[in-house]
Amino acid sequence: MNQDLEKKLPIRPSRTKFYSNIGLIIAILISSAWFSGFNVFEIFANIRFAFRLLNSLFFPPAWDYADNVIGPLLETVQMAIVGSFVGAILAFPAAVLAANNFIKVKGLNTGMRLILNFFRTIPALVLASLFVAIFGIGSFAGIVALSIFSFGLISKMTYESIEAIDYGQVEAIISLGGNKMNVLRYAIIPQVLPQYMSYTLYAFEVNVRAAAVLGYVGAGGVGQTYQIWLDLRRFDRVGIIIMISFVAVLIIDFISSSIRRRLV
Amino acid sequence: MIKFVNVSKTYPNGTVALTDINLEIKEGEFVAILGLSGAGKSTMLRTINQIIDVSSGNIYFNNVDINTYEMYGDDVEKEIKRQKELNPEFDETKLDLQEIDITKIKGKNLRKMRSNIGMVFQNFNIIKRMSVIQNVLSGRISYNPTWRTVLGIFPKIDKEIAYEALNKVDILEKTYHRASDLSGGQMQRVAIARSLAQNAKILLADEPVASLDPITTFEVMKFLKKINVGDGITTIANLHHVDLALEYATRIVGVRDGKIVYDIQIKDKPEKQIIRDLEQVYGRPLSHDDFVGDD
Repeated sequence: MNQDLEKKLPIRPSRTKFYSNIGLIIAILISSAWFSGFNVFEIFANIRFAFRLLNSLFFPPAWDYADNVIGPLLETVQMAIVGSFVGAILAFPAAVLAANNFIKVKGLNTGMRLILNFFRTIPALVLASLFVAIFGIGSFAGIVALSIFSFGLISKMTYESIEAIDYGQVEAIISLGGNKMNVLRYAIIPQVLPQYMSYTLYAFEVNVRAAAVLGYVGAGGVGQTYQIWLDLRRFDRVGIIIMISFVAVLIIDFISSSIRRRLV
Repeated sequence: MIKFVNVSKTYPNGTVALTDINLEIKEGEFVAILGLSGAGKSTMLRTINQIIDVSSGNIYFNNVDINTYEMYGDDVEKEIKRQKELNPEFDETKLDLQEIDITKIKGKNLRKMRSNIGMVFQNFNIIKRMSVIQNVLSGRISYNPTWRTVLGIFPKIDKEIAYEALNKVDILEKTYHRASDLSGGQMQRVAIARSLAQNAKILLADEPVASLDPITTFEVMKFLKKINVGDGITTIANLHHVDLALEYATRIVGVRDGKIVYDIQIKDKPEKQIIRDLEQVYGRPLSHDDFVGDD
């Protein structure tokens, strides 16, 4: 190399950090697998049981039962729709309170975020069992569980969007003599509305999948039928439920995500 | 009309933006504030409408009606006449004109004071997902109850004010377009129309043409000059380009390291002399970059 060039070239930054990070990630992976009892050999040793189960699930499919799946599946989708809708409505004011560029009261932001995190920590299934205990068996408990679950999801993502808005538009509304409500209406909502709707649709997609399981604890929908036929070891009927649900989820995901692409 | 007395601003992170600013601006002036980036120009502008509060000092506005917080400026008679034209029942005996220190007021009164002061920005800061007319109507928010502004239902008179404002900046044909569909120059004109609809007596322009190409730059500057001369709106503009200041402003204020180091009425000195003086403000010789046009 040219001597002058070599003199000007800065000292190469140390790569130690990069290698140590990779080492750390590998260590975490291996130790997690070890602690949770994950064993690759066990998978291979039991693989024939898996094939046997697959065989009884799908070969042949219980077509004659298909008609009975549609009703509970529709109920599941309805639960997901109502749950996402209620969750979204509750999420917006919560997100506004949690966003530190709108309400500049640190205590309020932190308090709100704690509440949101609390709701997000509880799995939907646990929420559903709690509400089944309160409201009894049926889809209402499921709807309440999904509402709270969507609330946690949508409010978290929405408040992060509010914090990422272009603050110049807020300045403009303040300079016009606007109050907090004006700032919300003219500077914040127009900027976050597409994202907010997109998060609501995303919550709906997640809810359709979650709702399918909720019935397992008695919270209505297609999950309840899963439970019945699994208990009776009628795997062919479980199989047809899985297939039809899979197609329904695919269609819903496709429609929802194509709307979302157009939103943002 | 505006009087800075010993205004200083230190940000919470310790940055000193303004030190002991004393400045008086008369009604109808077009003041160009020049200085390097980071000299404190933007902060100075934003203290006038208290988007940024001051650490110490006062900013006074003369002849403010204490009942409505409307500014009557230096020429009270002229403003009373204008008010009478707008509202035949206007009763001047009820006026209680006082000098108001904007750094000392809060809440509703501060918002009323702000409604006298329009602002346009480098990034236009119009609401891109709303139509042009909605943007201009947002200039009327401080004249309407909150429920109306939140529902977006403005009275007919406000709509007429908005159309007139759009007409004044030659963009009436875009009234029902979505703001995001406009070009940069058109967006800035909408922002100016919004300030007109606001019935601003003072216009703060923070680098109003810094995101525009040379042709639209002159166009927007012409509109700023038009409303300054035609409507008597006192204009204070942070500018990057010396030739724009010389052509459109009546006065140049030079800011360096948070202090006012230069202040001159443009008509009082030959341009060449001012350009030479400005090297002190910038702390370096001026180059092509400091001018929009090379002629």
